[in-house]
Amino acid sequence: MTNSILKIDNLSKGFHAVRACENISLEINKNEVHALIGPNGAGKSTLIKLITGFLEQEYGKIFLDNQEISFLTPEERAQKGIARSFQVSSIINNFSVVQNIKLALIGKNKNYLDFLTNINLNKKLLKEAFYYLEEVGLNKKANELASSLSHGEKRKLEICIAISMAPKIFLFDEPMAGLDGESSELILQLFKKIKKRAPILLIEHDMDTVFSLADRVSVLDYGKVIVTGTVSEIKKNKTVKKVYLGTEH
Amino acid sequence: MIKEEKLNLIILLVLFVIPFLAYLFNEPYLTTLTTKIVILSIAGIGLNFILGYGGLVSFGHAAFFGIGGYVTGILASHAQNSEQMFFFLQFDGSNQILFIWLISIIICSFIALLIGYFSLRTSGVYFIMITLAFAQMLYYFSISWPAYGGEDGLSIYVRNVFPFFNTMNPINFYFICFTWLLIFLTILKIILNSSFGLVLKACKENEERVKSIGINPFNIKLISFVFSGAITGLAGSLYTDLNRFVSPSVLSWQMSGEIMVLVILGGVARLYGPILGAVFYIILEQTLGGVSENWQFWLGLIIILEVLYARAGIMSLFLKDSKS
Repeated sequence: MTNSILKIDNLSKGFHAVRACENISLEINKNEVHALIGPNGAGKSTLIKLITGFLEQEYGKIFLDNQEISFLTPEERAQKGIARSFQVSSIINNFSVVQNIKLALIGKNKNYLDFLTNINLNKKLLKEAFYYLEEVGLNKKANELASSLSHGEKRKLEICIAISMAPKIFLFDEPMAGLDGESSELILQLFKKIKKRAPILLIEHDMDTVFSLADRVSVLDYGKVIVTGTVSEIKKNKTVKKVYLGTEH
Repeated sequence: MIKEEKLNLIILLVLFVIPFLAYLFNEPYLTTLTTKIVILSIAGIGLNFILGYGGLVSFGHAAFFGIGGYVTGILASHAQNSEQMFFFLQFDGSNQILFIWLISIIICSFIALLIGYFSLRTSGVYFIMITLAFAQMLYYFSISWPAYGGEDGLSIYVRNVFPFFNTMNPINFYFICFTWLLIFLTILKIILNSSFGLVLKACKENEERVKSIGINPFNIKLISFVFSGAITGLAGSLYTDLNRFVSPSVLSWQMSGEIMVLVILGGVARLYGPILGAVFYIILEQTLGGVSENWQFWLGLIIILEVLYARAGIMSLFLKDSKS
């Protein structure tokens, strides 16, 4: 028995001549925040798409909780316990905030073939949705249209959708992008809280966030993991400084 | 400007009252015309379920309307002529309308399952084309099937039999159709307020999100497509009984277009939109059709105006919370 929740073994994917991911191997352990950093085009988002099944790997294997999921569809992987946020907010804009959460709960509870129960009158579902909305501070906006939310609130809603799925692992793709300092801090605190429920694989460009949150960091460059280590190890690594961090950290 | 629930009630009340007024003023044709409105409304709400709520622009719904119609025509004509349907089966068809509806719904659901299974692998313009292609295949098949009238169509002499009701009485037949409309409106309202309905609406906007919460959008769309096909098929069955005739025209692309026009005219993604669309369409056909053979010119003009100024359909013109 290993401690890892997600294990990636020699995962590779190319687009024509470009190798987006080349023999990537990673392990994400229980209760940890594992950050994935690297320059633009390093293959970070491709890796998230490969893990979630939105892209098919050329070779390599993915294990979730010691079970191979390499050939499952995105929806099967989500059912197994992978929850994600997208690089560009992907919520249902025409739904209210609470409807977006109800939708996620319907997916989690697998009752999407319920044709009879009126979800507007389902108090249990509403209570559960509000529990998660309160967690991210969106309960007061529950009945507002998702499209009317600010950028930061949309980010929070997307994270709330992921949390409500009670997954085995969270994959967050640049969740802080475009957020002001206050919103980033709120999400930072939220991540610190939810990492106890499930590990987080985090793609983030904001190094202050990464260094204050991550337990371990992997650095990607040209589709390859050049190093994995703790924050202090990464800060000291000369190759990382050269390809990504520069000298200020 | 009124609330949607109130407008829906008014629409139903008007439809309920018209046959009585027609009887009072001795205008049986008006009852037949309103029956046609109700049947086309059923076909429209069937299409609207996937088009309005699921974002699936099917340009081949005449396939289901026509199959429902032909199932009714074929079963009834065998029963009326006491001819065996299949050489290996001792079955003389049926003139029992309940049985015919059941068979129509089963066959239309099965055909919708087949068409949907292949069509739903595509999207956008390809989905439009593939659904159109399936319907056109069935259209040409019906033309080349002389046993059931080929191009000339198939007549049934009397309407099929409903227990304790004389279906040849226009008012009786009208209320049978009206009851079906109420049944489908109720069923669809329940479904649209359910978990399934929420997921279907989500599929229309963001399939990637639906997949990422663990639901396969294909299955949701396929089930909806089958529902939609079954509803439209039953409308086709009623249409054959209304006219006591079925011809390949009910399978043609023009029929698919007509059903789609009802939905767009009335209001896409409004449960009662297709009813208002059908009312408006038949009024136009009856008034302008008397003036000119090419009355569709004016219909085209109205659709252009609607698309430009009232995208949410005629219903939105009456509603407080208009989506347009």
